[in-house]
Formats: sequence, structure tokens, C-alpha cells
Amino acid sequence: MRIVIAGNGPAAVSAIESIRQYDDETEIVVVSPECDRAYTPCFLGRYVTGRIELDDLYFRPEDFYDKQRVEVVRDAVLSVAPAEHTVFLESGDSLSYDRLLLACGAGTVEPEVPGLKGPGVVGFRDLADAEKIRGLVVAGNRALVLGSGFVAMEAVEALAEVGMDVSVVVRTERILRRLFDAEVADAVETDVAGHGVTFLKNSDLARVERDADGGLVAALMADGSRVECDLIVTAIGMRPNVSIVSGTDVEVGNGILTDHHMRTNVPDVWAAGDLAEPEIAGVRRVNLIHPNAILTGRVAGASMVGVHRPMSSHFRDMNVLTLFGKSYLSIGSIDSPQSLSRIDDDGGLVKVFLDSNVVTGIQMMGDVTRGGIYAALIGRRLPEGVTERLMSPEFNFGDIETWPFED
Amino acid sequence: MEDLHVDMELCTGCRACELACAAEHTSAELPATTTVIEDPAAIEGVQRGIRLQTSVAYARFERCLHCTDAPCVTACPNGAMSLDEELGVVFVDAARCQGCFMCAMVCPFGAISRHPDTGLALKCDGCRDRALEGRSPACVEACEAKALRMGGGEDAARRRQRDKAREIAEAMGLPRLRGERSR
Repeated sequence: MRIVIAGNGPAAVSAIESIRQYDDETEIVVVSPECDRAYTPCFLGRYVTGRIELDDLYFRPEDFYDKQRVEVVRDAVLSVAPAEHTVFLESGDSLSYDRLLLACGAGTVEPEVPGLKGPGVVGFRDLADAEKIRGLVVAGNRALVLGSGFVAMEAVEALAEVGMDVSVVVRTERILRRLFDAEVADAVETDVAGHGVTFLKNSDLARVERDADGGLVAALMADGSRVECDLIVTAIGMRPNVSIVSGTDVEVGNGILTDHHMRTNVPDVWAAGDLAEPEIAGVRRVNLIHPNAILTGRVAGASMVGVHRPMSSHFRDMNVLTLFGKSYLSIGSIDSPQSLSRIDDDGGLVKVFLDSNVVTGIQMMGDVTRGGIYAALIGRRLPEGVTERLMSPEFNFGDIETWPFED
Repeated sequence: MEDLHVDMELCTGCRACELACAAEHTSAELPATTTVIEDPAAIEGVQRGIRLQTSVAYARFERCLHCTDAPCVTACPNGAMSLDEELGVVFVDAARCQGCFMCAMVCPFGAISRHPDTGLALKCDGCRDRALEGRSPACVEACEAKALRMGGGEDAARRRQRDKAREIAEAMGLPRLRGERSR
């Protein structure tokens, strides 16, 4: 049997390990236009600044593919013909498969702005982007970052650290809207602004001004203002790379739809990682975070060799952002009006969101090392009289062992 | 494979285990054991992979359980957190760790702390170096009361915590998947 995996990121690596846990015989072919060796996109900012080396991004040893007996093909899967069990590659070649895993991730959403496409404008998604940015950063020059989400903030940190004069285009009043409430978002903004970063609130890029040679000159904003810049980094969002299945019967929502075994609706085709949208217990969700790529890859890999290890629930919404050495953590739903919080002298914060005394979400700033203990609270009803203990710096797992889940 | 067993009924709360852990994993100057007994706050801020918690309904140790299918290993983006299969120990490679704390975000036991100097993830490494020499972990060696000892199988406290971990992990979307090797 031959398994073809389109993509070579965390989901692909996880699937390979899972397949090999059960099956030594199956031939595995990985097809990726991007790299011969999987890397994590999580620390690209630190690679841009030179704080870490390329080697620090590789999350498996160099001999991983040899040891797992995987053939790596440096090419791109352009289309899939499920009826023929064949994928067509950019080079013109084709590959037949018995089982196919689609694990080619998500790409940067390109803003539709006149003049934007061209030199000096880069996304912030993959290693190629990071390499480009490394070639374009000049201390003292002006950089404009489009977007104010997690990835945008990582770009902001990197550009500021190398000494660029950074401005951030924020479409609304608040940064990191999907991750934090106003209290934490404002605190992040204040912390980041303290490193010389300017936030352009309620602003939108209308047009990009270029010189006769196509060189970047300035960003023209919707309100008529003009911001001179030498580099623009776009990070307004991410979109699963679903075009790989266009023209096929594979069902697509926000991502490629799968069941809880990561199987698509088409026989012998699975999907995992950032591009997959599994339906688990009636809920569909795309979740662009490393642990989800590992978990879904593991489930898909097992399923492809006939071992059923289905997802029993979605990986919970959570993420931790570290900027200029300070961490900010978000878990679950943070829009409940009821909350408890503790603010420490050193700028640390713990905030627990509640709905009718059931914990729905958590936010932390500073020391986030107890984040997992608080994460374990979600869905539990707070017993009487625990508020003080809950907010104590010594709050620990022993406290909650006996607290019941609401359902 | 031997695991750390805890008998809280024997624990005198001297915190020599914490001190020994810190001494084993740091070159920093540390207060003498007697000082810790008299003034437990003396070792606050000193890095250690085991911490005695006395401020709950019952005393317990905050420590790594070296979980099977550990959430921290799944969550670590660049392979810094891994399982030593031979020793059954989950450990962090400080040379690879980026201090992102995705590991802490998914650890229901609070077993991961922040190294006060480097800002990187710090946790119990099962005293791997000592284990390879056939020696007990530093905390076990330091425990005069024999509340900590190495033994086969699981003690009741550990089993209870592991069952709880499974429940929590599943609620967090980190299923302990069927067909996994167990130890």
C-alpha cells in the first residue's frame, strides 16, 4: 500500500509517526513544495531577528524521514483525482496513491489593496516569508504591519527588536480581538507601545504608493493619511489551503470537512492540521494551532492504516503569546460578563470568566505557568466559598480535584 | 520501570526534597536544610521540579507525573519536550526550549514552572542523569522520612491523579487515545 501525504508540516510528521506506530510495511511519500524537513512556524519572528537558528525550528531530528522510511518529494500537489487515486504535481508529474492525506496547512489572506502586490510587501506565514523579511529589515527603517492578531504581533515584536520603526494598522479600536478582552488587549498594547511601536487604530489601508521603479514609498490610509514605509508585512489572517481539492467531490466548509477520524467524504482521502475542519459531536471547527495539528495528524495516520483512534472532542480554544519576554494566555470563551480577577504588583493578571458560576474562560498575563491548572477548570461549577482560594497565587490542582463538571 | 511513590502520612514537611532537587539542578548557592525547615520561604524563587503544597485541604506534592501520551509533549511546537521511553521520563531540552509555555497551558498539574534566570520551561526531569547511573532521584535520596521512594507499579495517589488527568485531558480535547502503550 502507498500513502501519499500532501504537505510536510506538524500534521504530516504526526501522521507519519502514527502510521509507523502500527505499520512498518506501507510506503509513505511526502510531497511538499516548501521543505525537505518539517519546521515549526511558531518561532519565525525569532528567526527573523537572528535570536535563533534554522536548526531551532526543526522539531524532529535530521534522520527522521530515513528512520521512518519516508520518501520526500520536493514538489507541489496541484490537484487531486480521487476516482483515479492520483495526485497531479506542479512539475507535471503525477503520483498514484492508495490512501491520501491532505495536510498542506493554511496560507496568509492577501488583502485586496491597489499597489500592495510587489517588492517590499511580505506575508508572515512560512520560512520563505521569514527569509524574505530577513533580507529586508534595516534598523531605523519604517515598517508597517497590517493586522493585529497573534501572527501580526509576532511580526511586530521581531521588527521592533531589530530596530525598525514599526506601525501597526488596526482596523478596529482593539488589538488581539479574538484572543483577549479589552482589559488584556489594552495591556498588551501598552506593553508593546513601550517598545516604540505605534498603533494606528480604526484605520485601513486604501492604496500603496510606489515609485517609478515599483519601489515601496508609502501607505495611503482610508482616512486620507499617508504613512511612509520601507517594508509592509501582511498578517490580517489565515485561510486553509482548500484549493487543492477544487474540482473534486471533497466537501469544503471553512476548511476541508472531515469526520472525527479525519476522513473526508471521499473514499481514501483524509485531511489533518490547519486545513481540516473536523466535525466532532456535531460541531465543525478549524483550529490553527500546533497541538491540534499533532492530534489530528495522529488520528488521521492511525485511521489510514485501519486503527480507529477518533477525536472525542475538539482541542479547546487556547493560545499563549509571548512578546518582549512577557506572556499572555487565553483559554476558552472570554466574553462572559461575570469574571473574577487578580492583578499583581508586577503586572501579572489572572482572570476567570464565569457564566452562572460555571467557568467558561481564562486569561493570564505575566506568569502563565499555572495556565493548565486553570484550563482544567473550564466547564466546572465553582463550589461555595472558593473564590479567595481560586485567586491565590498558590491555587493548584489539589484544590480542584474534587470539583465537579457541570454536565 | 520504577516510579516515584509518595506516602503523605510519612511526610514531615521538611522540604529537604525541594532543596535537594534545586541543588541537583542548579549551581546556585542554596540555604542549608535547617533553614528551610525554620523558614520555608527561604527557597521561594529557587528552581525546583518538586514542590510541597501544604495550603490545600490535604498536603500534596506539585510535580510532574511523567504522563503517558503527555499533553506537554503534544503541545511543544519545536520538539523541546519529549519522552525518554527507556526511563519513562518526560523532560525538556533547555537548548531547544523557546519559553513559549504551550506546555504549561496544557498541564493540569502545574508541573511546569519558569526558570527564574533563563525564562525557559523548567520541570522534573526524573533525575535522568542519576537514573542512568542507577541512582535514585535527588528528592528520594534526601527524604529522611521515607515519604518519597521509588517503586514498581503505581501508588494510589498517582493512580488517582492519572485518572483525573485523563478526565481533564479529554475535556480539553487532548484525548488519551485508545491503543496507546501503557506503563
